[in-house]
Amino acid sequence: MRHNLLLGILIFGLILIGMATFNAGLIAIAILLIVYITSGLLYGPGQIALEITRNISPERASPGALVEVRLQITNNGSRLEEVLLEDRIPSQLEVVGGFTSLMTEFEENETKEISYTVRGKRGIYYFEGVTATANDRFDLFRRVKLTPILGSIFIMPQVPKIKRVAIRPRQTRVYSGSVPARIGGPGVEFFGVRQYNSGDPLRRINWKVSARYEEALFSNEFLQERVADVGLILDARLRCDIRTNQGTLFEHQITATAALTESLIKDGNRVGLLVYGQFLDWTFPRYGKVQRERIFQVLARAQTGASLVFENLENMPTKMFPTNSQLILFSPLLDEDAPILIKLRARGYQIMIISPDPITFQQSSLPKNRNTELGTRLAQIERKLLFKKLRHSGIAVLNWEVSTPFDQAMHVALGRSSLWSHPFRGRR
Amino acid sequence: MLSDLSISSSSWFSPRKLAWMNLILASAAFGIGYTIQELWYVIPVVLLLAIIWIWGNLRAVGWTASTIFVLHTIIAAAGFYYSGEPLPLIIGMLFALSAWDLSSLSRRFLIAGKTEHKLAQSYRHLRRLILVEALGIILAGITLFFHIDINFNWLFLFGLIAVVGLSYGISYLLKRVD
Repeated sequence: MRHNLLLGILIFGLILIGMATFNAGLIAIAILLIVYITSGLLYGPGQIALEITRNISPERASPGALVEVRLQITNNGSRLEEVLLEDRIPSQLEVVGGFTSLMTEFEENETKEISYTVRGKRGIYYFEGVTATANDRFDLFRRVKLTPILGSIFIMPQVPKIKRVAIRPRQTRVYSGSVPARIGGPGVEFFGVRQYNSGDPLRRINWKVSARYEEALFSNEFLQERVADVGLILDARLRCDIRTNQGTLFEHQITATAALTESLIKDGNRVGLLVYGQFLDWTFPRYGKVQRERIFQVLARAQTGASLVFENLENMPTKMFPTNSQLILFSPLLDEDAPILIKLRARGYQIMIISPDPITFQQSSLPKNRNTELGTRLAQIERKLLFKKLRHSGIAVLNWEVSTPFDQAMHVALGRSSLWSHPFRGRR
Repeated sequence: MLSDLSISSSSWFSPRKLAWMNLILASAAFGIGYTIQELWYVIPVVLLLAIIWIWGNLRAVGWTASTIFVLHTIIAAAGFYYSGEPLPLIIGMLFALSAWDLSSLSRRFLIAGKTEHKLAQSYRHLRRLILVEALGIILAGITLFFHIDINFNWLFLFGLIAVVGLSYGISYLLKRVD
């Protein structure tokens, strides 16, 4: 109960009983309390008018990194003899240094500063504003005012650095890049020979082949390297996610998506992202650093969710991705996903699946006994069969045990040197 | 600046310690008042209240200070009702009010996280409390020691004014409660 109300009731009771019983003592006690409450009324707080500036440094940070928040608060109203200034920070942020609130006396036109350090997990965090609770010295009368001062901290997902990812889409774009385009032209890697055309540089003439024919010359052709359209699909279906005391599998999917985004955009490709979960979060394919930032922002706020419509991959809007482009799916995969992915492959999409292993991830949190062992073996057999089916259809699959760092797993499985990434393999 | 006072905040001049001192003095005053009246059975109640208050203060239990302040008011009022000695009762009430107020201040300091110039704020608070209580005790003394003989009609009129005035007062306070 607020102090003023409590005192009001006591005063009321004492005066009534005092007058009813002709007892001056009770009135004397009431007078003592009346003087006390009157002082609260006299010195009660005036209107609160604050001017606030917020400085966040850095506004963009990696998970766990320290972010400093500074608030400069100026009192443009009347003097406040006791005021509690509280910055309303998002509950997911952890304060590791300083204070988010300050109790002080606030003179007119005076400026106070609140500074603190926070850290947090992946996400975008928005600040609401500063709540000022002003009261008289006895805290009998209060005024509360929220002064909105917006700000945000963008904690981007972890981005492990990976080497160049070899992708082989059937169709590339016109700009030169790093993806072998399956067509001859200027380049570095040998592609084939063709009849000499006038204007071909002499150093391109393949003399060995030309020597076999009397009246013809042949020129070397090289594999053209161009940029490609890449569609990243992040599976955010709740039923695919596994949560243990070590975290969620979805966080690993996010890490993988961020790493590939960084690598593919750096190579000059046109990259789009579809988050497939409770709803569709679609980032249209574009080039460059701005696009990378857009995708990271989507990844920062991505959450798993359940939806009847998007329960399986059947309703995936593939028309958003250009035909014959490269699709990369980040998903632990369910058995029922295989036919849909095979259908997509049949339509001409080059598909790569990066699948964090849910079995080994969950196994680490289960008790070690014969039943767990047997269950794990059965699940692994099922998963191997699923992968076999997908690989038979020409889909590249990386089974990623999340205990291995993603960059290492990628280096082994998808690096340029791997047999899997041979430029003509996809054609055969 | 008062913040430059040589007294450190860890010295006796902290709201919490002052609240404890006031509680002890209030209990002592009530004890003396009831001892004079020879109402011995009230003294264990006063002691019990002090123990509950201290327990609540140590455990940072929010409701104890206000509840015990109400009970102290009832003890003081009961003392007057049973024609007790006015001086120890009114002094006990004065210290009880101080204990309640200072415990509320120390609680606000605790919740605030960072408090700027805590010592200076405590000092100014205490100064105002002393002034208010000094004025209160003077007015209470006038009430106790100056008798005015009035008949029933005047009493009824004053009673009516008091009831209406207090009703307005309480409704006003209720509106300002956040």
